[in-house]
Amino acid sequence: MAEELHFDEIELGDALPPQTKVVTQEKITKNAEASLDFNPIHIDPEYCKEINLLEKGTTIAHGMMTLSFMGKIVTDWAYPAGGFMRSLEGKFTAPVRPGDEITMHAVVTEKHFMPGKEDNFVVLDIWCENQDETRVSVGNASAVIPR
Amino acid sequence: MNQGGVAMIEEKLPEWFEKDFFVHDQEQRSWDELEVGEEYETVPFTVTRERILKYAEGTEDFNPIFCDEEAAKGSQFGGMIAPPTIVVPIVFATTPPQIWIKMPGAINPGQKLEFGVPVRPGDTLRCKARMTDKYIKRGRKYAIGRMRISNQNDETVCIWTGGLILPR
Repeated sequence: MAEELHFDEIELGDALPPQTKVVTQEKITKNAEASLDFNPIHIDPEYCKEINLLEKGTTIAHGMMTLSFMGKIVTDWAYPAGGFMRSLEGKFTAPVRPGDEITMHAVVTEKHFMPGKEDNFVVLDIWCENQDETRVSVGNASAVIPR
Repeated sequence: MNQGGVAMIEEKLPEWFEKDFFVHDQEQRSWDELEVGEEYETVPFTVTRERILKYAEGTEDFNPIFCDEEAAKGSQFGGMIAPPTIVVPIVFATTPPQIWIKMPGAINPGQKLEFGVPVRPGDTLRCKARMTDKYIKRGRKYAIGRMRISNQNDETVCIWTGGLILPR
């Protein structure tokens, strides 16, 4: 079992373990059902072809799916330490298409020392890249690491 | 499952909710007509355990804290919670169809979420929103809103600042 993460041991520049997600149309459609977002740009390949969506005419994944991937890399890291995510921000810089492999990266960039040790938090830079190393999203998050 | 006389929590989508994105398109105003400061509210939505599980599956995040009541009981949260980003799709689904965020063709450029208390099965979420900015950047029309999502105890669940690039 992995050692518990402690705030004092975290160093600026620490990289969280990257994670990779393979995006398929089936997964995008499942996410549409899960998130109640049935915008045809996500689930109707014929429609996307007809309007030549974003110049390639394919469906694209929900931006929120990418944001949830960015949240996952943070919560996977902070929750086992007894912590939690206090903010998450992302900009979607390139579309995610069926067949794309998205890798999530996060690096600690700030440590905030609070009056109550249990409120100490870190800020992380987060970004997601596709298989061509194009950044599909960039952003940041903050996470409380209480011990 | 009925437990000791407690009513089963059921998900209830607003009566106007539908999957056809374009049905209400004609009711939408253009970016020009939107006014900074205008406000709207969502229809309250009860988050069921099933919705949480569905969302965890849809976003491929099977953290036991989101999926397993027994495992989550031993955690800092004391029980199962929803992945924090769930608030965004819930607010979107429960926003009335003529509100600008539902405009077909709108593009999501990015969002910012500041989290308060977690979302637990059985919580009822509601959102009060205000349009705070509209601008043009690199030829595209942006509208930005600030959304406060709260639960049945009026605790802040999330402050969501975000917007869309509007097609007209």
